[in-house]
Amino acid sequence: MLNFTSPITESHTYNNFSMKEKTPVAKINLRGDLENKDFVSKAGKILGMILPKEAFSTSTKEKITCMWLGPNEWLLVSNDTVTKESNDYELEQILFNDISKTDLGSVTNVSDHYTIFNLAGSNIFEILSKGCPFDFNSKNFGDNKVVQTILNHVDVTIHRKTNENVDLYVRRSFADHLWAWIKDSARFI
Amino acid sequence: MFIIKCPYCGERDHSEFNYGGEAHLVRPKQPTELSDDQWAEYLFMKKNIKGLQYERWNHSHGCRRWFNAARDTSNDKIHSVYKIGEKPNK
Repeated sequence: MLNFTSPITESHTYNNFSMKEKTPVAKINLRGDLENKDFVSKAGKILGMILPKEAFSTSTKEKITCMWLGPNEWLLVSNDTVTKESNDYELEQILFNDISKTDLGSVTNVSDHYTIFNLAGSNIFEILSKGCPFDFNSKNFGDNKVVQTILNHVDVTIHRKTNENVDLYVRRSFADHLWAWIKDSARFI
Repeated sequence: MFIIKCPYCGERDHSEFNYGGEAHLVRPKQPTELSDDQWAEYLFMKKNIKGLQYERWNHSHGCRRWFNAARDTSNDKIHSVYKIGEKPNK
């Protein structure tokens, strides 16, 4: 079940930068050992993709995007948005029954843990760099890459879809604070 | 800037990391059989040397994994990083 009561109630546009909160989507945290062949084959079968092994990498299918968070940790994000009425995800149940219950790994629903900001514009990384130690020009970081770092002392996960379109995952309780910070930083770019 | 190379994520700024103290300390097998002095020795008395020290670090704002680093405490130069459970190459 997704929580539709958002902490963010506005969207903002400056010259060529816009920020808005994304409609809630399902997010599942998946953990398991890559050296365990049963886990890898089962997860691959259910998701229809190979779990990304390299730092920063993601893989995408029609319905789901899988992001690398650590050597044994992934974040699965649904690409579909749902309405308030049909607010249920079978993927979590399938993963839970096949992976969690058989002790192959762990499956946790973190849908309401994260709020997603969608940032669009040509100078996103200039704005983010104001409060972030990560080098966005690093050769490891490009389109469809994901990085976990800190932004203005807040833990964030940054998913660069293209150079001008970024999804930023932040804990729900920090969302309001970070929103105000980005809004303020974007004013002077 | 002080850059640390996480064995999983590559080179990242030190502000993403947390320090975990001296590495390769072995926990006594039977803490109940130790005297208070011996237990305190294990818990609190760390080497605190000037020079090359083996330490534990946690990439707490990144991949959240623990690893070991060989750091020179006098100039913060990291000589090598290696995963937990591995031996340092000297």
